[in-house]
Amino acid sequence: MSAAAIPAQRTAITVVIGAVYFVVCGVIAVWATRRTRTGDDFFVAGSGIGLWTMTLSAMAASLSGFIFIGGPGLLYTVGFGALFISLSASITTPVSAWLLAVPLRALRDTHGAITVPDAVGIRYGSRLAQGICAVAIVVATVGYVATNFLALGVVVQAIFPLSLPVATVTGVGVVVAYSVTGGILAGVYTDVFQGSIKAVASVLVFVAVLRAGHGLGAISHTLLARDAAFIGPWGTMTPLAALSLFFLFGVGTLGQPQVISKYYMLRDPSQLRWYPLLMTLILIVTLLLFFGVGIGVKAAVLRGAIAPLARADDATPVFLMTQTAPWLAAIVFSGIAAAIMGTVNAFFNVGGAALAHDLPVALGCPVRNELAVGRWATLVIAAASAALAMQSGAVVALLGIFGWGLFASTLVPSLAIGINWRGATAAGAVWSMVVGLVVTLVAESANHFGWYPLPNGVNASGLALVLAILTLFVVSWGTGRGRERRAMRCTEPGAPTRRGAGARLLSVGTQPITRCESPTGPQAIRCPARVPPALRMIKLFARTGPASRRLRV
Amino acid sequence: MTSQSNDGAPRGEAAAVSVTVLGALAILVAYLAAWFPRGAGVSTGAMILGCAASVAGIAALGALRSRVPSRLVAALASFLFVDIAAGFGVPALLPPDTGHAPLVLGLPLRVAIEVYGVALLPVVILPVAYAVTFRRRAP
Repeated sequence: MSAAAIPAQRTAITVVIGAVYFVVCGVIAVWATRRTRTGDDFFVAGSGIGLWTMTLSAMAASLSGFIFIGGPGLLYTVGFGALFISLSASITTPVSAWLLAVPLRALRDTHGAITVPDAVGIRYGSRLAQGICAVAIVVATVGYVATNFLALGVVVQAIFPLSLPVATVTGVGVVVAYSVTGGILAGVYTDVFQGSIKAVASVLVFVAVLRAGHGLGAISHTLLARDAAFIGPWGTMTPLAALSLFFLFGVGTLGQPQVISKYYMLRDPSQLRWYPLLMTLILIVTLLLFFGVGIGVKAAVLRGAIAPLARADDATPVFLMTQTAPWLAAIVFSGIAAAIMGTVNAFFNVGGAALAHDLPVALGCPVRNELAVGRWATLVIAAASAALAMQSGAVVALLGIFGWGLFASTLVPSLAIGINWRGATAAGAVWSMVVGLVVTLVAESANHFGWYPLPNGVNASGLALVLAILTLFVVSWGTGRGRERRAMRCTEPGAPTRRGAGARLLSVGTQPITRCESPTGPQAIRCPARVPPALRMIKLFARTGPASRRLRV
Repeated sequence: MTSQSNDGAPRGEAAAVSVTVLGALAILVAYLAAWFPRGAGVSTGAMILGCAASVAGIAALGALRSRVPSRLVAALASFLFVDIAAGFGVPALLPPDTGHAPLVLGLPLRVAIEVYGVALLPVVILPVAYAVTFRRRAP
């Protein structure tokens, strides 16, 4: 969402509904503050929230104000290619639940984990891995929150008759106040409020789009007749660019800490059974506005019903002002402000936890009063983000861009894959996070500032993500236990030989070994697997492949 | 991923890792091909296969660790691979839609395949499979 891009919405009803939103947030914050007594309450809501609360909160953390303003604007500009951001919505939630929901919840119950870096640290038994993970989260959080501060100021100014600096301070003040006092507890219950309204408003706006455009079929015919490329399978983007969005947002979602940390918060883990279904349906319903406004406004502009937009980000405001009732426009605009605040709160939570909990643990000096330190850490994150927001627009925009990619490239390999793949090692996790961090920062900076523009379609964050994934596998294979056993058991005369991982690795991974010494005498190793050598290598480096199980010693 | 019980989990894990790695390599090839003037076709094909394989592989890895029966994991991963590969591959191969082309549920055919095939079809399969096979305790 670009700054100063939203036309003012200051009708009486908009101001009233906006004020009601802020009052409700304030009431929830007061209530949550009274219930927040420990660090657990502050960071994971005391693991005491229900399924609906968790789902709506996760949805609010997933879909920021971008879905209401920036998303439709992007769709208006590049056509259906923009939709690749959200095409994976029905896939990622079940996959995330399989990969992370029960494992993270189990770590919470057995090890007392309360943060995402906690899970990384416990999984690998490595404080270094936990520390690097925390650093990545802090860096990405500050950049992400800075961009949201700027956007919040613009949205608040569009609702209330305030100057931009006053509007920014007001919006930021409200979200900082309820985040510092009520922690994530205040966040999740304000998320329930604003998430519910966001979902309902999205449906209503989608219906308004269909009515204004005389149905989806008529909208499609208009687009096909006047701008066929817009409604092509990739829009006006290249196929690689669109597919990069699918990869980055489809796989990258698995590493967004503001979303996956919600798994720690559920009161009854057996309710996780229905989470993917509920979350997927709510996501799809809420994404209707993104889809509907983007194509509806484009068709209306092509028909001449709406004047061409001065800025793409005007798509939603212009549609609301010209095609919907004032009360609906007011609800949507207040919902945008609330969505930004909900996202900021979620990032305050993960960033504050990284500062107050994970970095001290990684440095070997955990703090005792995590509630107090957590509140101060939230203030530090807020101050750093505000300071950054006052810097040049180019720097802020860059940090906002790489926030998602940084989370994806550091957490997808080390956490989402690593927690489920027994072959992952601490070295693999550390190096994958380092590669993710460095490649994201360097490639995004080089591309953003024009030092080395990437070829059309190559997404810097997508490139970083795929390199980080491959690094996890390569380094883990190189540092895994199987490698050590191989050297010990099969290359030294007299070393015991049995159907261990090392023998399997050496015999099939590199070259067939026909004899090895063992305490009971020479034994033959045969490799009967009828598998192509290249595939056999990959399977055996994974240490548990079918070919290796068929070996006879 | 051929055995029915969890006895096949280690084999399934190796297969899931293999598919994930091959998918990641395909995506890397797609990005590298973009540096070459004539690499667009290779790039698109490799990216489609890479996305399909990496998503299917990662999903299988998680499902296996959640003790979903191996046969079901194989079926779900195959569905995901085919759904994504066909959902993006078929529109890439079909000719462009014209102004009078018939619509499928309000959308041109190529876009309808993406929206209804990739975005909506998994809704009726994956979350339901998750609910049916849900086990509370992590392995």
